[in-house]
Amino acid sequence: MDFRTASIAGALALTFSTSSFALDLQPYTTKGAPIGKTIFSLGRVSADANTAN
Amino acid sequence: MRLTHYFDLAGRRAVVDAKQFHRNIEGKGTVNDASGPSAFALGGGVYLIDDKQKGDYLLAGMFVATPTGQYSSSRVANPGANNYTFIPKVAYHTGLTNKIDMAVSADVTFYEDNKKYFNPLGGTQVLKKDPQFNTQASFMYAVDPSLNLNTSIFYHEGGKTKHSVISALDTKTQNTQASVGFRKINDVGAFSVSYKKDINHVSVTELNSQWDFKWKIAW
Repeated sequence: MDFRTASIAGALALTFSTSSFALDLQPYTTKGAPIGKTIFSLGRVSADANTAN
Repeated sequence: MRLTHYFDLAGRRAVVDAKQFHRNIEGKGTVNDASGPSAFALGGGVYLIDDKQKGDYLLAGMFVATPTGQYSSSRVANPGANNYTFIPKVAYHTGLTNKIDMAVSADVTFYEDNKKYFNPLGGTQVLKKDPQFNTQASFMYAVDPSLNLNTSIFYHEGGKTKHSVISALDTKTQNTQASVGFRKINDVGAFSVSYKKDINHVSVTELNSQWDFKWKIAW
């Protein structure tokens, strides 16, 4: 098993938006992601932002 | 909630990924509250480099986010969007030492026009948005084979908006963010926590803090 493989996929999958959706760019790794494997992920993001006018 | 599957594509490792978001917005000032399903995103990628011996990986992929979430043009903040978003992306990961890994990634986010965007004067307006460039660099330190500590820096620029009726609402994105976190794995999956905030921003919006919790199960 190689966690780096999943790390790249995570970075790719999560870095798809910075404004319209929950911001979630942190790369991650799992125990492994060999061919044929499926990963189920559940996450919670709590963000606080201010907009100045 | 997300499903990621790895498979063989003409002799190369490939990945397909689907995820559904739910957003709960607690508005500040004139921003409304809202809660409901957000975007559904579908994407995939192919490993152009997949070298376990050296620990080098290069992935190119494409994601699409659909306007399937909860959206109303009568409010400024919505869980969902009213337009498609397209995100081509590349990511590279390499082992620097036995203990330290590095990952870098870059993408450009393209936004379809939103033809029914909120107009505070009544009715709707068209919202156009320029492409936005996003980059990220991460470093991961392996405390032991099951635990890593990580830190990342992010830079976002672009996404200049053009409102068809009220140009005073036009904005652009330019910010730098940093994060710290950890990831712990076990026999069945992983748990990770990270904290992120703006360290510099030209954008009108500042990210004060963001906590991110994730659980993963592989089978």
